[in-house]
Amino acid sequence: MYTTRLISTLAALVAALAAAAPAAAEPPPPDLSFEAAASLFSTGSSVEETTSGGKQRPGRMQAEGGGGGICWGKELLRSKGTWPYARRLYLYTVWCGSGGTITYRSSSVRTSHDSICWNTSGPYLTKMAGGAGFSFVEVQTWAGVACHSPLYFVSFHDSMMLRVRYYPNGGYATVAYD
Amino acid sequence: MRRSHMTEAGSPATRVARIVLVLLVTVFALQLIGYVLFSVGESRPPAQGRGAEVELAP
Repeated sequence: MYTTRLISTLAALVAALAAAAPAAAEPPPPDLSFEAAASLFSTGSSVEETTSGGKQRPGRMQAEGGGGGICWGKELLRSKGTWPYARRLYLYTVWCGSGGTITYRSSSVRTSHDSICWNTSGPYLTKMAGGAGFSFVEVQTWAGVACHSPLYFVSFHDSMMLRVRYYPNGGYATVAYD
Repeated sequence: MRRSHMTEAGSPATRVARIVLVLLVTVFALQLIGYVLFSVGESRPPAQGRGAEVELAP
C-alpha cells in the first residue's frame, strides 16, 4: 500500500513538472525577420569580414554592402536530445563570392533549448580557415549545454559543435559536428 | 489463525528500509529515463548544400 501510494505520488509529481515546462524555448516564429529574432535572443554572437578590410565587428547581423559578387545565406541547425531535453545550435551565415573567391562573410550563432536546459558556455563562433580573399571560408561554432535531470539538482552536461565550410559558388559542406 | 498487525507490515525499521529502497529504485529509474531522453534524438546539418541567394543592403 505504501509502495503504491509512493509511486502514485511520484508519478503525479513528474506529471506536474512536465506540464509546467513552458514552450518558451521554441524557435522564433517564421514571420519574424532574422534581425528582429537576433535582437530577442541575448545568447548569440556574430562575426563578419570583407575583402576591403578583413575587419571583425561583433554584434552585427549583416554589413552594408559586401565584397561584391553574388551573396548567399543559410542557417544550419545542430540539435540533440528529445523533449524536454532538446538542445539546438543555429549557425546563420551570409557569404559572397566572386571569381572563385570569397569576398564577404558574416556569421551569427544562437541557441534555443527546451526550458530545463541552459548554456554553460558560449555559444562561441570563430573562423577556422580561409576567409575573404580565399577560395573558401570555414566557420566553427560551439556551446556547452546542461539540463536538469529528473533529480533536479543533478545535471546532465553536453557540448555541441558545428563546423561548416562555405564556397564562393554558394555551396557549403559540413566538415564536422558533435 | 489470525496474524498480528506487526507481522503483516513488518517492524518500523523494515518499513523505513522498504520505503527507502523503493525511493532509490524510483529515482534511479527516473534518472535512467531522463538520460535516455537526453541522449536519444538528434538533427544533423546536411553534409552539403547550397545557400539561398540574398541581397545585401547597399
